[in-house]
Amino acid sequence: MKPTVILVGADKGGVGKTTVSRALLDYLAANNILARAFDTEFPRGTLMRFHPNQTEVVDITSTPDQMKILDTLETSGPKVSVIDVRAGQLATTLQALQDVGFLDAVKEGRYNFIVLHILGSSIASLDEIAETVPYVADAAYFLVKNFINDTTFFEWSPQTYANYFKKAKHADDIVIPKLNEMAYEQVELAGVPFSTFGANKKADGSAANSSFVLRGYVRTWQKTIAAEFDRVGLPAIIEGKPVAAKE
Amino acid sequence: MSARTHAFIVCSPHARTGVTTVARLFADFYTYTNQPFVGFDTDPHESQFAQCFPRDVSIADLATIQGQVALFDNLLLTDGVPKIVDVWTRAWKSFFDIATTTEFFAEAGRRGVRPYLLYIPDGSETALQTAEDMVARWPEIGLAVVGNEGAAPLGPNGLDYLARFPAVHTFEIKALDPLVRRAIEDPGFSFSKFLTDPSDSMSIVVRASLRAWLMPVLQQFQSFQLKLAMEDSRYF
Repeated sequence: MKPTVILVGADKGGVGKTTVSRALLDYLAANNILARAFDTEFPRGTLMRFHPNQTEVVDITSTPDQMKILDTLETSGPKVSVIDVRAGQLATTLQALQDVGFLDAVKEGRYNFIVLHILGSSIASLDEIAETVPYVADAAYFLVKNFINDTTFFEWSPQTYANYFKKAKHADDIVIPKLNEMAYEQVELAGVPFSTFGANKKADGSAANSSFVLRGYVRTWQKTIAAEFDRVGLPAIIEGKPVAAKE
Repeated sequence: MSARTHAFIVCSPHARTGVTTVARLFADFYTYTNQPFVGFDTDPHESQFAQCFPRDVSIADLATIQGQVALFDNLLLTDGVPKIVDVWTRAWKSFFDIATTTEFFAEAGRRGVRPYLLYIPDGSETALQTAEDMVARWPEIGLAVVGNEGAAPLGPNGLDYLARFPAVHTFEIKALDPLVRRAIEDPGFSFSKFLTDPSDSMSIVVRASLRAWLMPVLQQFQSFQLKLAMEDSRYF
């Protein structure tokens, strides 16, 4: 299996990038796909708080940290590297990946490259797509509509969206549903992965005493997300298998 | 393995079938026989069940997450204390949606909580179909079907109709004379108190009628409880 880099990012803040990264790490673990994660919210990472055993906080703009990620793609145990890109850094990160030749290596087929572009409701998010598209010609590019923050995408007309969407050749939609606020809050307070909360465990693996109802909401939410990741063929992309073209 | 804790969910897919009356009767059976129970009233607007048992029944508004947690988390407690839930008609969908989302019935089975639906049909085929679907979907539940003649008369073939349900037990509650019914509609009225200490102010005719109506109901509950105890004896 060749190494895979999954970039989770957006240029807008507060659209739920880290939530999607957390859900993604849970999904990969549930599918027995070993992954490591890089949290670019330097110096204090939110992702690190929830997945400390597999996350490292890095400064994506610094050369040593870029080396830490990219130079170890072949040699690290986990073949999947999830990069949670901090707000406002998506375009910068893609530019950096181009500058160091990573995108060329993807084009040559040495690496799989997946971009989960988290969209906000504003029209600015659509402009972001246009800015991102030039970098993702050889990537599996997913536009993620994240409803976790009760986003309504009210400003978008379907025609406008379709117009922007078609600019990305290999793009597909992923919908992240809303998670009940209290359930979300309790997971935040517990400071554990969603899967750990759902299993009624603490970070150290001992039994927790979390509400059954809230855990149920979290489990159902995770199942819905897993169905979305399955639908777009995420495991197949990671394994380098051909994915059925979207309808 | 210890004995199972029972959760009795009094419900009906249709309105005005007497769900609260059945919940009250069942709760009063526990009170009358000096057995503890914990009740939940899912109607936050006219919480008649909670008003009848202010000490033992709490209101769980399923439209709020707090209400959902208060109900479902407590239903899963394996403390040996039976739980009685009055599922208001408008909470029917929420109740079973939440149960589905949280996989409540499967979790109850894992924990040793045995959920029973005290299901009141209205005589329709859809009520029968709904019950069959639920039993097929959630094999962990025990279905007890309640023919409530007063609120939901089933007609001359009522017994045949009830016999078609995939039920572990069938209850028949006869219609109560409208004059006598008025006496029990006061939330302050307690069936158990009536049996142990009937009010002198109540007409002797009303008392006799009420007792004649009530005793067979309580006997059926007792018979049901014995049946459950026998079933549960293998868990000791």
